[in-house]
Amino acid sequence: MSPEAVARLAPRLQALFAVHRPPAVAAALTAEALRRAEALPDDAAAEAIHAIARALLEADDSAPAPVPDAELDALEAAPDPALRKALRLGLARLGTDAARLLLGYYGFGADGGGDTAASRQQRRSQLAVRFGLDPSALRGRALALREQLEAEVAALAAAADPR
Amino acid sequence: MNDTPPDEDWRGYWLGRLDDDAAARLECRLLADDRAVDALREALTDLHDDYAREQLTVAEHAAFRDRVLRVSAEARARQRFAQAMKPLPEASRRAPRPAAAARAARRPSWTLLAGALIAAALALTLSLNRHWLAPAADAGGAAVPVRDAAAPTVLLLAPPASGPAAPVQLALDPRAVELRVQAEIRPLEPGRRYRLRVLATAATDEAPALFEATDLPVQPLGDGQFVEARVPAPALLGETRRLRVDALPPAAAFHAEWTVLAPVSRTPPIALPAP
Repeated sequence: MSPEAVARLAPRLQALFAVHRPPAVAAALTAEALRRAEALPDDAAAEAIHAIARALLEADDSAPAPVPDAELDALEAAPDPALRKALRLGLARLGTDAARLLLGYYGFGADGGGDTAASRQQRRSQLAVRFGLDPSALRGRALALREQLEAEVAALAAAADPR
Repeated sequence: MNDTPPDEDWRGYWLGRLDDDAAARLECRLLADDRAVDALREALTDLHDDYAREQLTVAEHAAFRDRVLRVSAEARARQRFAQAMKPLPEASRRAPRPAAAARAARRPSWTLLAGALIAAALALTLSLNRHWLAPAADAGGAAVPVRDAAAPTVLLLAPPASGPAAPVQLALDPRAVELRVQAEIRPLEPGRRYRLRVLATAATDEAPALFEATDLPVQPLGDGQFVEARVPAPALLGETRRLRVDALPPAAAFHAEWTVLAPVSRTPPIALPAP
């Protein structure tokens, strides 16, 4: 398999493994899957690569232990004020254009989030027109901005945590 | 947002609703197409947001909780973020409850918003008399920007150096009383103040304005510099308008203009999260 094919395949394998395992384990499984797929041609069927990935997942016993209900219940409580403060800072740092795209794409309007699947789809289509992007490009940009903001907010919140 | 084939149920994949064959087909698609990776990621992000907004069914809520949140520390961190992004009603501390009951109680957020808008309208009665559909000669006084998350915010980026800005279409809630309009100033001249006016489409630059706010200072926002004014919604709602910003004094060279279309819609405009 050529380096170009490996470069195309690596993030897709990482995405698949990340559904089932933590990021570090997903990265290790990706590396092993690519090693096993080395002998495959560039145009190998996705099913062949999928078979390798599935075999690795079934052989891997590192699935994390589930956490108790109390920890999940805590997620549904009111958000930490420090986290919301970090969020506002993070949004400001993104820049107006990016913040506008991000907030519009994910429907964080003043109504508290009365989003439905239909209204979400309509809003995103309108946003693609407004920003002059095709839907795939808009989706990719929104996802990247959200990841960037999540990382920024996590870093800001961690920096502010006295513990 | 759908360039995804209708047979790709990524949401169902995350929630464990697919049989083994259907899941395998989606996984093969994932390995063959980067757009499928984005569709997978988007489905997960939307689930995080729907969980935060209590918009999942009881079965979906339980499935997401057990299949994603319970087994992934990263997912729990993302969920905290999604919860923080959700605009916060005042009565926010409540025990987890089944999503079906939560849906019935979701509408109070509209009541809270309507109450906030009514309060804002009462507080701004004098301002509305002064600015609402008044000729430019009678309008005046600075609109002092304040951080009030109850009014929806409209962000207008600086038009390109050559050619006009693309028309801006707003989805205004017909119940909105006013909007915070933030217009980017670029290039910036230190020390300048600005005038913002709303004009009818066919009006000349010096025609009487439907709304005017003057002596506006420039404020930083993110990596840009903006002037802000509170524009009464009736000045924009249901019509195509010209929104023009001029440097003061009026003879100064700078001006920027946007065409704003605001058809009546029930879709709320973009707004920053409440503090």
